[in-house]
Formats: sequence, C-alpha cells, structure tokens
Amino acid sequence: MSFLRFVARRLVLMIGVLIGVTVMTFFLSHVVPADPVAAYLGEHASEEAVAKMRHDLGLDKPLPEQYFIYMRNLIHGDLGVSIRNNRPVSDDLRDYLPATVELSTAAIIAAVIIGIPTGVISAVYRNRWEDQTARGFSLVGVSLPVFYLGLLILALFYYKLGWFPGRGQLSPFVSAPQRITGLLLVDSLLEGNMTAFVDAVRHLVLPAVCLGFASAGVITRMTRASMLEVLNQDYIRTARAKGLSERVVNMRHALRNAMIPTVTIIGLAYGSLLSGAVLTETIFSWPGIGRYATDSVTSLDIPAILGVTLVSAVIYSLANLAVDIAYAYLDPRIRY
Amino acid sequence: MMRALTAKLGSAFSASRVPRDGHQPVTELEPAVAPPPAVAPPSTGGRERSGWRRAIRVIDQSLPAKVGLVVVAFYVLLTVIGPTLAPYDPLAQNLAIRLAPPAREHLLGTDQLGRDILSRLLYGARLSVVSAVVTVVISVAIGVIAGAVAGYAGGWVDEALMRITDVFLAFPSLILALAIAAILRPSLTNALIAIAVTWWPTYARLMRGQVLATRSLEYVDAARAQGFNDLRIVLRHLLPNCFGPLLVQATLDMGSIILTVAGLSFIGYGAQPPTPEWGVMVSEGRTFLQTQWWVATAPAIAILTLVMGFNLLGDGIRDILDPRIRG
Repeated sequence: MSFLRFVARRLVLMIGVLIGVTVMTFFLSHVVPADPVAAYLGEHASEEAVAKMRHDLGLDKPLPEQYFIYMRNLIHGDLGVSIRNNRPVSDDLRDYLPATVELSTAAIIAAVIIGIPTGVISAVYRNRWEDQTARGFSLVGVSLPVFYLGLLILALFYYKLGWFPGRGQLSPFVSAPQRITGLLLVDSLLEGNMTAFVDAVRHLVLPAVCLGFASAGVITRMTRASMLEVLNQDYIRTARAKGLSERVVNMRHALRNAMIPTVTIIGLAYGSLLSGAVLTETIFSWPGIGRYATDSVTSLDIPAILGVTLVSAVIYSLANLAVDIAYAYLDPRIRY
Repeated sequence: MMRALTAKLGSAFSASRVPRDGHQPVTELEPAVAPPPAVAPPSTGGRERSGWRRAIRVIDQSLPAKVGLVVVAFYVLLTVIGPTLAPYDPLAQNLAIRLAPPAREHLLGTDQLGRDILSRLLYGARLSVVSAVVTVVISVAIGVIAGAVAGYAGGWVDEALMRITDVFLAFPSLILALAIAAILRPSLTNALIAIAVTWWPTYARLMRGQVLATRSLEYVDAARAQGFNDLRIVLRHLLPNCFGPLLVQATLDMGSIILTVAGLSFIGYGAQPPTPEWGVMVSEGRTFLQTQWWVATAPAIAILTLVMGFNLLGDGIRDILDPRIRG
C-alpha cells in the first residue's frame, strides 16, 4: 500500500472514530442522565419551567433527531452552554486549553530529557549498577501515584526550599501579557514582557516535572528495550568489527535506529498528557482543561464535562493519527 | 496512559513491533507477544493443573517476578486477613490523639481525626485489590469475548468490533470517569464502571491478535476436522493459548487501575470519605505533609509498593514468555 493510500485510509477510519465518539458523548448527555432537565434547573423547578426547558433543549424530540441536532451544533463548534457560568463551553475550553498545551509540552520535554539518556545508559551498561538504577527509576516512575509526587514536589521545592513558586501560572504581582495565542510563554515573549516570561517559566517547572515523571519512566523503558534489540543486530557487530569506537557505535548506529519506537512512545505519551493532566493540574492549581473538568464535576456541569470529554477524545485521536502517519513514513514496513 | 500505550504496542511492549492501525492485527508483522507454544502445549486442551504448576515454575526463573509475586501475594493475603489484623476500628475517631506520630500504640501514627492509620491501611488493602480485580475481570471478560468473536469470525464482524474498540480507546479513562461521576454521581462503583469501559478494548485487541495467530495452526484445523463446533474450538483450543499474553497484560493493568482509582478518589470522585481508601487517605493527609508527613505518606507508600509489585510481576512473566527482550 502506498503511503498516500495509507494516510487516506487512516483519515477515513479517523472520521469513523470521531463519529463514534460523538455518539458516546451524545449517549452520556441525552440518554444516561435520569433527567437532564433536573440537572439544569435543579429539583425544585416548576413543571412549566421543566416543560419549557425540555422543549428548548429539544428533549421532546425522538432520539435520532436529537442526535442530528447535537451533531449539527457540534459541527458549528457549539458544545452547549455551561451551567456554572452560562458561557458557551467552547469559549471556556478556548480559555483553558492553552495552559494544558503549555504544561504537557513542558512535561514531555522534561520526560525526553530525562528518559532517553537514562534508557541509553541502561542499555549500554546492561545488568550493571547503572542499568539497575535506571530500571529502578523507571519502575518507580510508572508506579508512583502522580498526586503524591505532586504534593512532595510542592512540599520540598516550594514550601521548604522556596526555589520555585507554588501554584498557578503567574505570580499575583506580575501583570499577565495581552492574550494573543493564549500560551502564556509565547504571549509574554511576543509582548517583550520578560518579567512575565521568566515568572511563567518558573511556575511551569514543578508541575512539568511532576507530570513528566511517569512519562520519563515509560520512555526510559522503551529506549532501553529498543536499544537492546538494536545492539543485537548484525550491523552493530559490523560497525564494531570495523573498529569504530563504542561511543560512535552506540550513538550513531544504535541510538539512531532505536529512536523510531521511542519516538512513537513519546508521541503517544504527549497525546495522553494533552488529553487531560487532571491530577497534576488539580494539585498545582493549573488552569487547564483537566482542572476545568474537575471543577465542572464539582458543580455538576454536565455540558462542560462532556465538552472536555469530547475535546480530549478528539485531541487524543488526532495525536494517535499523527503518530501513526509519522511512523508509517519512517518505517515503510508498517504500511502492509 | 499505560492503557493507551499497551493497547497500541501490544503487551510485549517491545520495540520494533508496534502495531499501527487497529484494523491490522498485532501479529501480522511478527507475533508481538510470546508465540503460543511458549505458553502451553496446545494439544492437550485445558489442563488447568499442569498450567498452574507451569506458571509457578515460570515465575521461579526471574528475580523481579519473584519479588513482584511476593509483594502481590502479601497484599492479597492482607485483603483476606487485613481486617482481622487491624488493631483498631478504621473509622473510630479519637480527637484527643489526632495527628499522633508513629509510636508503639499506633505504629503508623494517627490521622487528623485520631484514626489509626495502620488499621485504615489494612482495611484499604482489600478495597484497592478487590476493586482492581473486579475491574480487570470485567474488562477481560468483555475484551476476550469481543476479541475472540472478531478474530474467529473475521469479515465485517471483525471490522465492526475493531472500529468500536477504536472509539472506546479514544477516551482518556480519567476524564470519562469524571464525566460518569458527574452524570451518575461520584462513587467507587461508578469509577470502576468508567475504568472498565475504557479498558476492555486493550484485551479485545490482544485476544483478536492471538486468535488470528493461532486459528490457522494445524491443531485447530485438526479440531475442526474432528467436527468440533466453533464455540468449543475457541474455548478449548484457542483461549488456553492466549492465556499468557492476557495474564501479562492483566497483571500490568492491575497497577495502572489501582493508580487510576486512587487518583480519582484523591480528587474526590472515587471512593468517598470516611472510606479508608488509600487515595482518599493521601488526600486527607495532604494539608499536613509539612508537619505530619506520615498521614499522607503511609498510604502513598502502600499504593507505590502494591503497584510496583504488579509491575514487577507482569514484567517478569513477560520477560520469561518472550526471552528476546529479557534484560
């Protein structure tokens, strides 16, 4: 199958998945709640108000028609109106999403910086103490509850040492830059507001390390596994036989070929970070979509939480699609 | 995250065999998981006893697996006898001794309501292990049925089932659990439902891949030639050979599910206070981390060790089944 046909097929499948996702969120919003109107109006609403609301929401129509309306609204970017603040959910998400993008990006960078060298060292010094340490680290990385790690990091680096600011994206005394992209780092740079930029970077460090820790463990494992696999190959033996130095063999021959699966893992990990860093955002009071999701649940704001659900499923699927396509491009065997 | 990664990568989690596109089985490139004969000789059909003995022998080969098994066995034992070992009632408050440091009377100290932390941990073990087991069993049951049907039937049935797994895999489990908590109100049961809903597709894909890999092998043909019906072939001849990879995946997933449940409870949308659930306990202890560190740390260490146990055990079994990536 040619590359373009592969991409075309994946795109078609992707559309199918997205339609499936909307069916799920529709089901959750229209079918599962015992009474969506009660959720909107509270239990003590008058019958008249309930009837009017049912009509306004289109809940008196047959389900397929309701789904059709739901889809039509989605296509126009209408995710419904938040019960909490009466704003369109899509506006809310536009406000909250950039913080998540910034945090996830920083986290994945941290994870790569930690994970790849650790994985390489682990494979090169296989079964020696370096390897055991690295494997222990990656085991703890995937086993430690992220919420406890967050509390520890805050306790140590904020309360005790005071090296980094604690919660939120900016210190109260720093004026936020004009909103252009919504990404605080980018906006403050565009505005030339270095105070805000430095402050935002300092706020980003702790949550990014916390969020990236588990991914670092996963990346370490993956790098190690694929390095070991590559180091067994004939061309590595050839390279050694040619008299190339260990460093050149490890870095130029082995690591480069071991990177394809590692890059895949990084892409997938990034996708899952983007689609909701709920716990980290909650602990660090980070104004992203994960925190928005928990706030929505607290106020039983069903349109808002389903908006987040839908958007995170879409983001996650798109990230997967991007990884698939990149992978197929890099490794033609995948295209079948 | 691990759910998504393993769903994509197959339980072998090993480098060059990343299954892309859910439509194509993991196994078309090269078996992503241990080749079936490594698990159980197919010819004899289901002989559970020898399977168990084999499993123990297999685990005996690897140190991490042994350590993992000991840890997991320890916690499983606690789920049975933990409550009888507990020195105090896990819910009994005694404000006179609130936030007492670890000492003879209270080995792990007391929390902000003067409850004995050790007793709460011992009761909580049952909650964590049982909820993870229940979730995994439900996910495996749905996944195995869907995967076996897809792999065995092939054609449009396969296509349709695999597309459905794609849809369910698209949802991050924590976010979906939050949505379900908002709609059905927060409770441990609802959290487990939400997690199972997002976890079964992994098993469906795994099972399907295994079935595709094994269904054209000779012994299956032989069974078919003997006139056995499809159900019997799947149950007696295909399922036993998928056992190893499913076991590895399920063991690793136990860890991820324990973390997810604890996380949900930590933010208040899983188990509810005063339940002695470990995530709830960390959450209740968070305000005292600077001063009375043991309140949040004791349950966090319980979670960490239990999850590590499952990860070591799962990794160990996998390494044994797939010697190529043994470390």
